[in-house]
Amino acid sequence: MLISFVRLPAQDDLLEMLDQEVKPARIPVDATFKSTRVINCHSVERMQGGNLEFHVSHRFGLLNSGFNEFFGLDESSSHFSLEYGITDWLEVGLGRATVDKYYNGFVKLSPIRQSKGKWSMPLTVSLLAEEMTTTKEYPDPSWSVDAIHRRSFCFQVLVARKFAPWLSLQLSPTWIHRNLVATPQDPNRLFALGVGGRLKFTPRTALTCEYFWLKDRLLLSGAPRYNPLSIGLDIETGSHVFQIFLTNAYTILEHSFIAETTGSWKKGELHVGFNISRVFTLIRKKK
Amino acid sequence: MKTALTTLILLISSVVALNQDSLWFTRSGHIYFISHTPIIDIDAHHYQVGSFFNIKTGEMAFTLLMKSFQFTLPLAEEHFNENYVESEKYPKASFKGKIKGYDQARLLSGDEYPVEVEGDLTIHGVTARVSEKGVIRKTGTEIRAVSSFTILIGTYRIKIPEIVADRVATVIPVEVEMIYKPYQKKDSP
Repeated sequence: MLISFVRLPAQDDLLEMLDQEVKPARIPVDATFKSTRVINCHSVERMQGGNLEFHVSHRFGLLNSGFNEFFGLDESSSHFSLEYGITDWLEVGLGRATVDKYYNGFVKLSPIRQSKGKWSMPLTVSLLAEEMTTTKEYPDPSWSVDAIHRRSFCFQVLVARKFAPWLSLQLSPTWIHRNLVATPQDPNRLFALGVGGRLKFTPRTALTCEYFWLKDRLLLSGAPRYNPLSIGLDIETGSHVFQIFLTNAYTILEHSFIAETTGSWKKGELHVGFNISRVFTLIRKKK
Repeated sequence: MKTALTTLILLISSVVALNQDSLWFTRSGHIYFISHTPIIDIDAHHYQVGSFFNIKTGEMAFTLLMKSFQFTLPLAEEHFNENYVESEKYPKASFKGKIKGYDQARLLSGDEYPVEVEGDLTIHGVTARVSEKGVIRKTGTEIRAVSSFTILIGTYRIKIPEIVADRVATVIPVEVEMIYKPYQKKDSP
């Protein structure tokens, strides 16, 4: 009687004892976003070490351009890039955009990653530094004497949290510097604040949304600028992620879609766009 | 009276001590699995499997965190956790069972002891009664337990979408290797 009483706590449930003994220090929270882009904007995600992503972005012409333009499908702006994860927290990328013949290169690193457990972390923070160079020929050759004036830069602090398996949100403060602007009155430096989110409604599909507020939008010369708003759908199929969306931004690179969007949702100046991501594992992780 | 009390205390502590002695433990057990298809092999290791083995009764318990599987293919890890085993919802897999017809003397002899362990395996929130063969052997201060068996993923309601059906096997071979040491209550790292 006494003996059985003493034995109980140790023997009754080995599994409960195991739970007491084996407590993980840190469980990373994965897949805040399924793609390295929310829609137009970079997400906090990057390629894991040894993985190469071939990323293709496409924006068709204006949806309201009528039947003769086949509702914008005749025309398109695109961007191709190769993006490689050097480690799980550091990614580099090189790309080319068709509009104004831009090349771009970026470094993205994620010093803080959301995790649960003993050392939990509520957020993931990724930093993006990007350089964009146009190789377009200017109408007057004397304009382009200095290569430095062909460059623009973008720096973003991407802060995201996966609140639940079905809900992730991201804040994207963005600083853009353009070496060449249209008039002396145009600011070289621009600040924009982006918000984005992903709402997963089946295991492989999610609704996405993204908006940028451009602080000095009204100071920019030329055609009126609008804040880019995009609404889309993420479809995941094995090693591909397919994103299809509606957006008022026609261009793809940061300096442009944030600061040079001239389409307006109110006027129905929208574009259908898609991103396709194909991932290749170049280096398998060691055992 | 005093003597009786002392005897009682001694008796209790010796029982507890004896009981502790019968428990062997590891927090660094190894599990390996592979999904083999003609198109792609997807495999993963787990090096932090926790397990108790009661050498007196032959009872065994295992637990592991699904998220701690290390895949050789990094993207597979995300798919595994996010889409197949739903690690957020079902963070752990566990097993609790007992060696059939357990004979402690055979283990203590130090020879290889082929066993069959019967119990409840829980994966993806689904518990199934299983019975698997393995070998245990006590060498000096260690007990090594190994087993190879297969898991049918359908049993645990893990759904594989049609689009990747030719890339994920439905029968998964699993290998288990545990090195147990005597359990000490405070052996946290």
